[in-house]
Amino acid sequence: MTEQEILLAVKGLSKEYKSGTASLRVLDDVSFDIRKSEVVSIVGTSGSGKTTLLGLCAGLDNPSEGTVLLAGKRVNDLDEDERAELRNQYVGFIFQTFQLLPTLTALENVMVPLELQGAKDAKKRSEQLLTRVGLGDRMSHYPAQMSGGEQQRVAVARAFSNRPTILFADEPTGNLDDETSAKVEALIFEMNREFGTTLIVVTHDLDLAKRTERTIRLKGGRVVSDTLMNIVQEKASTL
Amino acid sequence: MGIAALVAINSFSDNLQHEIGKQSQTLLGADLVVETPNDWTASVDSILGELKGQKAKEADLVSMLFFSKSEDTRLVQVRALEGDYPFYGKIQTEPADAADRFQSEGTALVDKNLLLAFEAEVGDKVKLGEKEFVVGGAILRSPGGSAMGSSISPPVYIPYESLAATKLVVPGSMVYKRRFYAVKDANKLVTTTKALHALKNERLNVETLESRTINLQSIFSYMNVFLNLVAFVALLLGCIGVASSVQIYLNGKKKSIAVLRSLGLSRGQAFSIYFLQVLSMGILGSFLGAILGISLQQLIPLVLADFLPLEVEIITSWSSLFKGWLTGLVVSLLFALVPLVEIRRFPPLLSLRSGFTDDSFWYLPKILAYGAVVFAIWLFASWQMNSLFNASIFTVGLLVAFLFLTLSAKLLMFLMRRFMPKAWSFSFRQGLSNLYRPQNQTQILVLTLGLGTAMLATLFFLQDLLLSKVAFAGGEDRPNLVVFDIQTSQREGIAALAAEIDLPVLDQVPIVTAKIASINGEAAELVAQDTSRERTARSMNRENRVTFRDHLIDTETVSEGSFSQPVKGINDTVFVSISERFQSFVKLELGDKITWNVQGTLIPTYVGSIRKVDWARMQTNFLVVFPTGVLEEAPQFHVLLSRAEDAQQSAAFQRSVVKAFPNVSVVDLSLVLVTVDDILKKISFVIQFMAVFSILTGFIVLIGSVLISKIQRIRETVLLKTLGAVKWRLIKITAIEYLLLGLSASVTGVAIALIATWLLAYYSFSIQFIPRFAPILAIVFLVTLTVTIIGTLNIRDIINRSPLEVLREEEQNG
Repeated sequence: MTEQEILLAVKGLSKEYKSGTASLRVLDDVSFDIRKSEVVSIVGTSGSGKTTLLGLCAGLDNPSEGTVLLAGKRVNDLDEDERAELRNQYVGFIFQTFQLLPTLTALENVMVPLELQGAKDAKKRSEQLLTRVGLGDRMSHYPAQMSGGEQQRVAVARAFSNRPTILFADEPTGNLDDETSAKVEALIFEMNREFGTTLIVVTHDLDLAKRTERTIRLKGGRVVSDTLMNIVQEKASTL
Repeated sequence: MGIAALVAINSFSDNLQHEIGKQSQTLLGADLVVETPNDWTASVDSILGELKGQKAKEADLVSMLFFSKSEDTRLVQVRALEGDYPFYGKIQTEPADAADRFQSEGTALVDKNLLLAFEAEVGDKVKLGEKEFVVGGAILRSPGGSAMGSSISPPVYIPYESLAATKLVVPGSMVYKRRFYAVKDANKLVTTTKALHALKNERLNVETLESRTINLQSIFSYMNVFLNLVAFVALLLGCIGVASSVQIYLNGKKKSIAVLRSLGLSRGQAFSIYFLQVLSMGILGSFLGAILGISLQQLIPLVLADFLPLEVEIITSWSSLFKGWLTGLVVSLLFALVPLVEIRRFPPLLSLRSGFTDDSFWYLPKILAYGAVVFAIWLFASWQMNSLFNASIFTVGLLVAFLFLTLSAKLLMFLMRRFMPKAWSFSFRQGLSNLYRPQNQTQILVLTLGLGTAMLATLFFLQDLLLSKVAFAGGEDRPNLVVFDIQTSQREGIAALAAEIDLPVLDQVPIVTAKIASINGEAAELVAQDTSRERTARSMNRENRVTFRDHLIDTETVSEGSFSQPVKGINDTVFVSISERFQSFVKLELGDKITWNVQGTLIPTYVGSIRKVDWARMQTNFLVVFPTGVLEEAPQFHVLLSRAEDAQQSAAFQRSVVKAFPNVSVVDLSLVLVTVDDILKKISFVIQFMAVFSILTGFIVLIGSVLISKIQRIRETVLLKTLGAVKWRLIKITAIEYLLLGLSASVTGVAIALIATWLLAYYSFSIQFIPRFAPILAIVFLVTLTVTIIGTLNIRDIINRSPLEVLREEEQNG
């Protein structure tokens, strides 16, 4: 693995939350590298530190120890604004609870990352994306007027709207029924292939994890395994 | 804050009324005071002659006081006193016994602030007319006097027997004569008062303890009503905030209510749960407000110090506390009902899926709640004003203002939605879109801030309006010095003094005193006895000060007839010009005949024209103007108008005039302007003190609304931050939103204030209101800036929070 190929490098990452005199170590000395276009799942039980790890990788919080190198930049050294710019340029997000702006329509939600980039054709591109996720007729609807599946599809469109280099998906189907989950999953992987994005999916759904090339397993805030098994499995099944 | 203001005002008012009742004797200083501008007549003498007990008399006139050491001069109220008045209380002086000694020692008591202003002290010499006095003491407080009264014309007491030596009293001088009596026999006091009131032809002002107490109590009860209404508006603003908070709180509880409804909770039960919550908060909030009000009332005597004729002991008025608490509780509950009744419309389906609920206006419980609010406002106003009509005007005025502000907010939202320029930057469009997007705060903030701005701006415009009426003294070529009481023999001398220091003589106005002898052949005495024409009757007894000239001055226009032509010969008919005010007093028409008694000579005249006179302008205005060629030889005195370029020139002229002609008085209109300005500032300070409650409430509502919407803001801001928005952009978005909110609220508020001021100027003051542009801009700028700063500061800590922390909270809650 060469330096150039590595998009995300995590070294000795720890996170400790303090509450009064008590402290809770959520992540403990986590290290791994992720290459461009790689599709990775981070799995573990509830409270294993998955979401915290994802947040630290995306620069949404500061680690207590360790470093994160994203797209060649040391996230620890960046201030809040530089991290925001880094996210806008390289990162896309999909959240379990969709996290759409409730006061914006579906179209406006998708346009936000593009608007922040100053893209002139934000509207046109967002309309194309919403059509692509099957919501061409719901563009002017507010999140409260849409079902969970529809909201997550808007979130998927928004996540890809700024053509991110890396996409972080935190339990993207955790709030959806099986049928809708399957559709949203398919959409994410399809668009990921289409856009050639590096994808990191945090999930406790092993079926979803099986669809990724590599699985990093967390337990008690530590990495207990990091395998490329899925590819082996996938290749084995195709032979 | 609103309840605090109500309780503070009411409790203080209770204390004040109690104190007026307690101190009424010292306020008047006597049991009976009789005053007249004329000479005492035999009929008055015979009634008053029957009174036994202590007596005193006083002559009250305006004159120039000359400070011998500094050679400065100042117009003062000369009170020449004889006897031991006041019989109750005393003239408070420094040294304390000066009031007891000044009559026997032949010294003068001078207002303490006046002595301070002219760096004079007890023992210095001052001159009134042609007599010099030693200052025997400094007056701290005289019976019934207030600091405000003293600033207009500071009092100077001299012994009555010294008045003649001043030679200030000459024929035509305006001197008020007073007599004071201590009457122990209550029945005698009543019969004497009745007998005096029965003398319709006399220009008498009769005051007793009872009438002074009633007068003072009614004056302060007017003030109380006004301040109460201002406090009530503060309360209403607070209640709008309460309604808004309840609305936002319920929005957050929609899902919980829907779940409870799904589990079988009835609509009434759901309503009761939240009504009880609001009720308990209302009881607590109103109680805290009432306690704050009791503490705040300690400040009111300080604010009103210049206006109060007595010191007020502050004690807690439990009835005011209870009334304020109850008013606050009822009004806030009624306002809270408007959003609370919406609970009945939350469908249980909301527990399964979110969506927008029906929030249309046409929902009966909602309309009833609005009706109850309006009725409560009207009821409170009726209670305060004691007039259903005035209360209706107040309520309608308030509703119109509410409507105006609501329409303004709606218009702003419509304009933003409809005409938002697509080419503008994301920050601009995001900030502006927040004004009309779901869960916006536009309407509530425009309403509360706009109403607060409207109140403050109206007060400011009114002050500006009243000041502008006297501001002419600063105008180019306008006279700012008026020399009056000039005898014909002194005319040339005074003109020469003016010329010596290069002062122009802008005008010399002759004044002749004349009484009406008959109207259309009916003798004035007969008209005076006609009780059905009381006002006309009173005019028959006055000594009218008339002038003669052959031109109009710039405060006059002819509304009927044509202005009098000079009289050439002895057989010419004399046409006089009367003012509209005189016409209304005496009930005259064009062509009516008036015969005048000028110092014993009867002059028949006819009404040739009726003039509209702007009395608000300080000019030599007259009720009656004779043509030239009639009164030139009559006994007369003169007024000279001049213009000094600066205070030094004015002071030099006053010094030389008072030195050479001690009986002559000089009014420096610039000083009058400064005094009027000072008084208006003090009055507006009192009003603004109350308006501050409204503004504070407005800002508390603003901060409250901003804080309540913080949960929503946190989510939006953090998401934007997660998606790549930098701090500056987030601040810009928020600042733009609040800038527009502030601008819209302040512009609408100022517009309401302009309309209100125009209506008040037109209907109450009968003057034209021409607003100045600079203060309007200043008010709009200040309100907008404050709203923008408060709104923007609110997101400061959101920006600094970790996005992950907030998102995790959201996930857990959501």
